[in-house]
Formats: sequence, C-alpha cells, structure tokens
Amino acid sequence: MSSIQEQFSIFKKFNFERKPVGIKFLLNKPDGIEKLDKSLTFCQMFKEAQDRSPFYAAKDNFACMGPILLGMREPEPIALSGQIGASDGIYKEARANRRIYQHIPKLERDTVRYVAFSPVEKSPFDPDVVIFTANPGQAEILLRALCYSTGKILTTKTTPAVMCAWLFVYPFVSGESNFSITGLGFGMKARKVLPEGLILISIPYDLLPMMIENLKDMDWVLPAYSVGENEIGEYFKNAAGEIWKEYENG
Amino acid sequence: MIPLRTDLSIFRKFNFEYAPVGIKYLISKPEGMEQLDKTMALCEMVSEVQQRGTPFYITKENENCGGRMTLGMEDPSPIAESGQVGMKYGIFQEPRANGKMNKQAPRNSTGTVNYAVFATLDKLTFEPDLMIFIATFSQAEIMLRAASYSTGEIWSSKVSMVGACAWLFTYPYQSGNINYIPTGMTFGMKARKIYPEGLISLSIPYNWIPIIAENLNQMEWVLPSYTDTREEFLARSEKAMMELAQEFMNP
Repeated sequence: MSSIQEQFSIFKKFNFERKPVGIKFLLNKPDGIEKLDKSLTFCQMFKEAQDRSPFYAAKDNFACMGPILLGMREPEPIALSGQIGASDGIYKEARANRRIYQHIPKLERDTVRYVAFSPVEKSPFDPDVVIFTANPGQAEILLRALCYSTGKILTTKTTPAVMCAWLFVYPFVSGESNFSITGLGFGMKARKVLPEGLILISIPYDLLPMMIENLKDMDWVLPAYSVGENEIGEYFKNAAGEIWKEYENG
Repeated sequence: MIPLRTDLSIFRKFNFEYAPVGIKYLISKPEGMEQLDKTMALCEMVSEVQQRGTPFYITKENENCGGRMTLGMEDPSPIAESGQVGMKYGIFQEPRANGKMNKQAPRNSTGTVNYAVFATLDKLTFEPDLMIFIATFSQAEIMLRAASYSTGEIWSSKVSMVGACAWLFTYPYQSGNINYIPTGMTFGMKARKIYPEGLISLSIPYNWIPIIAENLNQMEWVLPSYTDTREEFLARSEKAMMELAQEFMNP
C-alpha cells in the first residue's frame, strides 16, 4: 500500500456502498494511468471511477459542460446567454439562467488538459479533491470531522444546473468543502447517475489531513445518539447540570 | 400581527407528510393565541405544532436549549458561549472550536424577540416571518427550483453541527436567504430524533415566499427530462441543442 492509500485507509471503516473518488487536475498527461475509452459527462466520470481502476480523461472524453469548467474551451453564446436552462424548463427565461454564469467557478483557460480519477483506496496520485457518496448517517460523521477541531460553519453552494462545477471545481479553486444532495441537480437527476437522497461531499486536498486526523480522534457515534427518545431530555439536563456545577466551582 | 394576505394555497399541492409551519417573531404578546404549556428545544417546536395542529406562542420560559438565545429572548450564558457544551457531548475536540462556532452563529439582539408564534399552513392567519418545510428530496428539488426559476438564485446553505436552530430560525430571518439542511446532520435534532433521516428542512424567509409561490404556479413541477429514460433524455437534449443552434445561426 502506498503512503497515499495508507493515509486514506480510515475511510474503509465507513463501508461506503459507493467508493470515495479522488480527482486530480493536470496540465500534463499522467504516467501509468489509462485513458478513458468513451465520452461521458463530468458527473458520469465520477460515478464511473467508483467501480473501476484509475483513469484519466482528456478534452475529447468530456461531454456536457466539463470542458468549459475545466478551461479546455470557451463557452458558446448559447450556453452563456442562458438558452439551455430555459429550454430544459429549469428556468423561466434565459435571463435567470444566465445569472448563474457570473458565479460558476471555472479553471483558467488551458491550465488543465487532463483530469485523473481513482477510487481513493487505489489512488496512485495525491488527489486535489476527494468526493464522498454517503448516506445521511455517514455524512454526519464526515461533516462533523470537518468541524470537530475547528468549529467550522458548513456552507454549501450549488446551482440547479451545472452542479458539477460546485462539486468538482469549486472545492479545488476555493479550498472550501462543499456538499450537495443527489436528486437536487438537473443533469445528474435527468441522467439518473445516482439514486436520490445521497449526500455528495467534496473535500479539497488542504482540508483532508485535518479531517482524517479528526476521524481518528473523535467518537464516530456520539453517546447522545444512542440515548432513547424518552430519555434524551434527562440526558441533556444532567449534562447541563454537570457543566454548571463545574462552572460554579471553577 | 398582519393578517395573512399572501396566497399560500399552492403549497397544499405537495401533500407534505409534515405540515409546513409559519413562524412570527414578536416583541409584544400575540392576542387570541395560547401559550405552549410545556418546555422543549426550539427545534422541537415545529414538530410540536405539526402534531398539535393548533397554533401556539412561546416565551423564553418555554425553551430549554439554545433557541431562546438565538431568537434574542435571553443573553447567552458564559458556559454556552465559551464552548463548554459541545465538548461535553463529544461534538468538538476542545471548547475553542465550539466557541469559534458560537461567534459565527446568528442571533437577534436580546429583547427584540420576546414571543414566537407557530402555526401550520392550514391554521395560518398571519403573514409569517418565515416558513419551515420538512420535505422529501423530490419536494425540496421542486421548492428550490421554484426559488431559482425566475431569478437564477444560487442555492446556498449554512449550518453548524450544533445549534442548527440558529441557521434554521434566525439566519433566514436576518439575512433574507433561504436555508436548507438535510435531517440527521445536526446534533440536537439527531439526538432528539425529531425527524427521520432522509428529509430536508427548508427555511424560507418572508421575502422569498411570494416568489416561490408564484413560480410554483407557473413552472413544471416534474420536468420532462426527469421521467425520460436515459436514452430519451439524451435524444431530447440533442434535439434541444440542435434547435437552439439553428435559432442562433438564423437570428
């Protein structure tokens, strides 16, 4: 096991039904990884990576908005003017759809020519972003691990269309975590990429070490979660009483 | 309280399992309404009014968690503010993390909200300051899309692992922004088992309610692409793109 795979081994404890995927944005072709042999959307590539060995994708592999977000080509006026979202019925008029392009994160033109994907447990590279597909219980633990030592407020950002920009590119360019819910974004819902109700959590490389460290240190299932519905009031009352007692004797 | 003027009837079409709840914050006691006759956490009060079906109001005496602080009914205690509580429950490594989070949590100025009124949609007689919806993912998708349909609004949510009430009850009221939080993600609501996992709590402030209601009246709730097979969707997309390109080439 490489040091990268060892670093991520804690995630195996979750027994995710769908594997966490690492993504790397590259200027030059990666060595020792095969090229994807078909054309897919960005969100489909992420799904594809959950079930196979590492691969990389180039401009000709990307369908949909991927090449625009990655800075591989300029957006067409049809997209930028908001015609597509209106045509799909997501937006009432093109003017509403065009507003989102002021906010959608993109990479600088021609700075990324290849994107590598791998399940983190097999990852031959140190990923720029790791994306988890979690049920709500697993997501609660992962998100709590982001806050455990930091007190971080969790902020999410997304748009009904082009959700891939917020899942894959936004954490990379901003250094912020993000999460979204399957079934809320148009493209993934229409393409039936994943069933509804899963939480997609994107973590940029610079937050991963802290998150992993916190997962090692914290209780995954908090004691309060195992207390029955009828006893929880008493549990909170007792805990508050203990804290007050310490304070008064402090 | 200003009587309800906004037409909220469109929200009945969802057949929500949990009735939408309207909330009003008041400095003075509301007339013609009963006070809640027990104490509980703020996050439980939405569920309480859904179960009772009759509106009620609360004062700080009815609230036994952090809700009265975020609403502005009482000053936070040094114990809460310093972050002792979150460490005690194992949510945070040290009080400093919890304390940092507390500093960022929105709260109304003390004394500015002395009463909060809760009523389910069918008993709502006043213009709510915010409405809370407990929705399935499909219902939440329609509600959120309704917010963006005419506006292009970005969907953004904010939450902390503890004190989620601040983000559901105060943040939308203060900021005018919609907020949404999946159930099962935050400490108090999860520990109290208020709602099952796999739902979304949507908090909609008053400024967004008419926009969403109007857009729900106009837009398609289930987009054709959602009922297509994968192949039908790809064919639909290709056809739409070709039509758009043709229009573009022949302006």
